[in-house]
Amino acid sequence: MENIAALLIDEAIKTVLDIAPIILVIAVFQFAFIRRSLPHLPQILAGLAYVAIGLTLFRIGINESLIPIGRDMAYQLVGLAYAAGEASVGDYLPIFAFAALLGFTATLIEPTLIAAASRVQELSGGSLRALTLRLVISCGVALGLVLGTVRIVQGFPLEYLLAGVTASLILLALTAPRGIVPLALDSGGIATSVVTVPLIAAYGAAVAEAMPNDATAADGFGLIILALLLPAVLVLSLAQIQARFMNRLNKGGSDEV
Amino acid sequence: MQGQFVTLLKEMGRNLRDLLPILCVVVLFQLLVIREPMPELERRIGGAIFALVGLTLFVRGLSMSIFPLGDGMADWLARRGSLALLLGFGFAIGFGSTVAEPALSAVADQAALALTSTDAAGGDDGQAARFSLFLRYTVAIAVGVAVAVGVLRIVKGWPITWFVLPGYALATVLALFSQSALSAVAFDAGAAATSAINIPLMLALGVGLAGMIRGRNPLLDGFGLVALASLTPMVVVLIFSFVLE
Repeated sequence: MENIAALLIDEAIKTVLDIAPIILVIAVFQFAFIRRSLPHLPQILAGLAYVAIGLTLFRIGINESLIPIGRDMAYQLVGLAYAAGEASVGDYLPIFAFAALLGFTATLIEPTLIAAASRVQELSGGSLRALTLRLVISCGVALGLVLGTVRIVQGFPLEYLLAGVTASLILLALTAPRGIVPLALDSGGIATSVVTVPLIAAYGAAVAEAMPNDATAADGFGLIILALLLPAVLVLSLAQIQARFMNRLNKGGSDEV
Repeated sequence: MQGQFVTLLKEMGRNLRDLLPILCVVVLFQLLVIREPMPELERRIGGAIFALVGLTLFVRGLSMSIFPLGDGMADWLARRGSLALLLGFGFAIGFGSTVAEPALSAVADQAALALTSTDAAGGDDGQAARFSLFLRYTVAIAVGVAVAVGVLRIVKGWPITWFVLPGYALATVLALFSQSALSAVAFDAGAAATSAINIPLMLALGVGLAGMIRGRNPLLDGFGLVALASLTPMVVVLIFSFVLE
């Protein structure tokens, strides 16, 4: 029981550190400049309490469940690939599949993405569905995690992989339908937050550590940036495909219009 | 009060649905591939329940507090029409949310240790701590500037690609040329700097502003602040490691 109390206090401090500066900024602006009473102050205060309590409980929860599970499983899966001696790429298939599924499903419970996606649905009047957006972005994180895992087991330099990904991101962003670009560029940042960042960090360190070659935990870095960039690449690619497709449809049947 | 509780329960049901896929993945791999009992199973299940309750409260709390607050601020700032106040607010949000961010502090400490230990002068702990603090403040100022620029972009209607694409290009070139062990850390730190509180607030601010200014579409122009805020720490830490090595 003491254990839980200590955990609660520790995480509560982190949450307060996260929230306090922002509350301070808002309070200063509210009282020094706006000087207008807030209409729903009790509701806002209750909401802030929800945010603080919710974030604390959530962090403890994933620290006790998702993060150790992801770390242990990654470690064991890499170990299994080596159990039969020298491992070829095929022996790594279970860990690649795990990376994809872990990235996909973890992003589905990313709270910032849940909140942002429902906001987008609201703003677009329902034409961009929240669930669709979350599924596409989750696929992007999954793709990033697989790429990063392939990189770690193959020992490929991160810089070259990043150069390729950034180059394609720039190319896609310059040619995609303009309306989707800001949302696409933000999508990765929104998706890498309270669930995915600690989970991917723990996962990457475990994979790098379990590798029998001279990879160290430091080689586990570089996964989060790939998980941040790939959703943008995927959203932009899909927007391009959709635009081309619509174009062709319009050309085919545009006579009446 | 009753209605509140029912809404929360409904949302918890929806979140449970969101949690099911990851549960299935874990169970599937445990049973089919690893085929060993999971250590500390009760503790893991307890953690999952904590996570479910926390997630529900957090998302509900955001739409009750941060979103309306951000909207209200954006609304007032746009009506007031003072660009200086608007930029000041953007800077304060970016700086304030970054300077105490636990993930960034951890990375700054790590970077400071790595850099001072390779230093020929022989790094002592005090030097590493000073360097870490310096790095954190530099990154926080950079994020503040980035958010202010992002807000200015919304007001002026400049395309986000002008800022984000050259930023990524610069970060990549720096990483290619520095070949420093720190560059991977720098990239991950940028992604970690945008977190649970500042992302919703930046979205609310951007979307609220774009909705208030004539000729701006919230969906098209309201986004982009998060991208800028996560890119800037990467570039700053990369420049640091590039200059120092």
